[in-house]
Amino acid sequence: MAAAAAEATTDGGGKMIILISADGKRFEVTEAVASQSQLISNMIEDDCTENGVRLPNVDGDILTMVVDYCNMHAGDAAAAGDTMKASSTEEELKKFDAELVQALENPVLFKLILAANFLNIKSLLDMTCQRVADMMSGKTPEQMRETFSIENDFTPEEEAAIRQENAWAFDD
Amino acid sequence: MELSPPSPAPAPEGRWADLPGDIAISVASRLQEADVCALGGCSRSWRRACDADCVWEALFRRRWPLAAAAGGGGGGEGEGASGVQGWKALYINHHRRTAVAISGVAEFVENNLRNGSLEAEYYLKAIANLASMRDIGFIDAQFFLLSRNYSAIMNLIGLHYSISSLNIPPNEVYKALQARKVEERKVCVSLYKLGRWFYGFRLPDESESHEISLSELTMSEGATILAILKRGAVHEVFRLQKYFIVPYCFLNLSRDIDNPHYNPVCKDGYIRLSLSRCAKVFRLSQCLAFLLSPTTFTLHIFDSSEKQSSFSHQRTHSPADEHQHQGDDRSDEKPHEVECGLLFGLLGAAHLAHVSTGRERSKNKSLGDWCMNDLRSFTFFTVSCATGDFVAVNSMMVADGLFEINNGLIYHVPSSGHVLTCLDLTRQFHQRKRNKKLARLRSLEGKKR
Repeated sequence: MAAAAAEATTDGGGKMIILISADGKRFEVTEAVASQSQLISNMIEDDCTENGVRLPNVDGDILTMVVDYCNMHAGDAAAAGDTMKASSTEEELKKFDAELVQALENPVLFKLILAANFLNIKSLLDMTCQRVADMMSGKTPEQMRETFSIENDFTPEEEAAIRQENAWAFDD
Repeated sequence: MELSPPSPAPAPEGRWADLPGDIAISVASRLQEADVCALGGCSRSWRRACDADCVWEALFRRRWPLAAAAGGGGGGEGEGASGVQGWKALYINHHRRTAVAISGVAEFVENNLRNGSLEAEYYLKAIANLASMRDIGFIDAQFFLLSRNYSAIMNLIGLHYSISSLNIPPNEVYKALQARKVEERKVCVSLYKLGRWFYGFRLPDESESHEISLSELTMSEGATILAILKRGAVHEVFRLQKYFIVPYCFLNLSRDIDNPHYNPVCKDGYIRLSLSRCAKVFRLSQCLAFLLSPTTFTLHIFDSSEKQSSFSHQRTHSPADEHQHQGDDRSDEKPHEVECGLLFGLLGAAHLAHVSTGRERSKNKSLGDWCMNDLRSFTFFTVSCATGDFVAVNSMMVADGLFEINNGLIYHVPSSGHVLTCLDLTRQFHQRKRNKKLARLRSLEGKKR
């Protein structure tokens, strides 16, 4: 079926793998692309991807982004042999990553982090965590709560104690 | 085959509190210390992530690599045993220790500020002090030295230290200045280049003054000034000051010189001169030194606690009398208009000569070494910026030439090269004293009548 058909079309070698999102969308990717996810890579090793991989806690929209990301980065890995090409794609990749990450906002960012964590794609997870950290930097706790809609579950006393404890870091 | 997910259905929107702990820690470990603290104040789950040992250990190792390598780990265990939360407590402790160490440097700088300006010698010493402390890194510099709580000069020291000792790229320093909101602060770097010798006469010293903001110092135009600051007082003498302009209150002073209680206060309140008290007069000569800044030296300011009025001596020494009213006995009553540079060059000299007559010897040991035995021999006392020692020099540059001392006489040598004036201050001094005595006797007699 799909896997067999894919085998003929791919140039980078390896068969095609079907990823199925929580809302039933199907994504066909090469093994090289898919195996950037440690989770899927393990499954490929265990040879249990034949009927497609169901990812019940990843939305179709999110999976689209993940697949885009993996496609981009798999290209990089494949071109690694050719140095000229690699350097040019590296720049492109950086640009792609920067654009992707800049566009990320709540709650997509949050979901993407969970997806990257679940699929175990380290580079994507790093990138998204960095984005969160960048969004947090320089903000007050109140601003952080607002940005990330974090619920304040401290009692006023606890909050005062924390503020006291953190006074050293905010000397101005 | 189907995966059985660890968590049920997709996470509800924006439930950041439900982020898996390891991801929360991963986020926290990408933050600066202040942000980690802020994030820890958001909610309980974030607090757990932000107090994590690994987050603080990484922060500690990044900020104080030497201390961490030297025994941070052992200390961490100790802290852990005593029940405090490990690396975070260790971090805060070290932070406080660093704060104390740096405030020591700040105190040193504050103590050596004169009218808001700092001599090169102390400036370089402060930087050397910082460098001699272990592990004062860029984060410490940002935290403490670039703080708005400190003066612009401390900020400058932080900037200079970061660029030249820590080799931080200037653009990084610029960002730090912005983050600490001190980039607009201005400093003034004044320096004096030695006048060349020309047919046996020293040409006037060139004085340069650069007003520059801290942010400009991190850019290309500041590089030359940083180089001067780094070089220190080798061929140039410089003073640092917070940005202010010394107004020409000295002209007023020369006009009101007959009123011993004259107490001019400059518009900006920086310079307060009280001529009736010795200690304040020192401050005057300090201002003077700033304006004139003879040769490579600056006039040293004695920190005298002498309460006795010494103004009368100075007044009789005043070159204003000599220069413009020679032989005029009523000159004491007359206000004088003198070229201020000339007046103060000699005022300072006369004053220092006065001080050096020995009455203050006990108070200032190094002064004693250079003490003059009587007023017949005048010496310009200066303090060498390079060594900090007292140095006697026999000439002193002023705006229009130089004063030279020879056999107890002070010669004014204008830039043109001809000796114009020869002042015998000691003779005049005694003469004045006599005249004054006579005048007082006469007035007493008059009253009697």
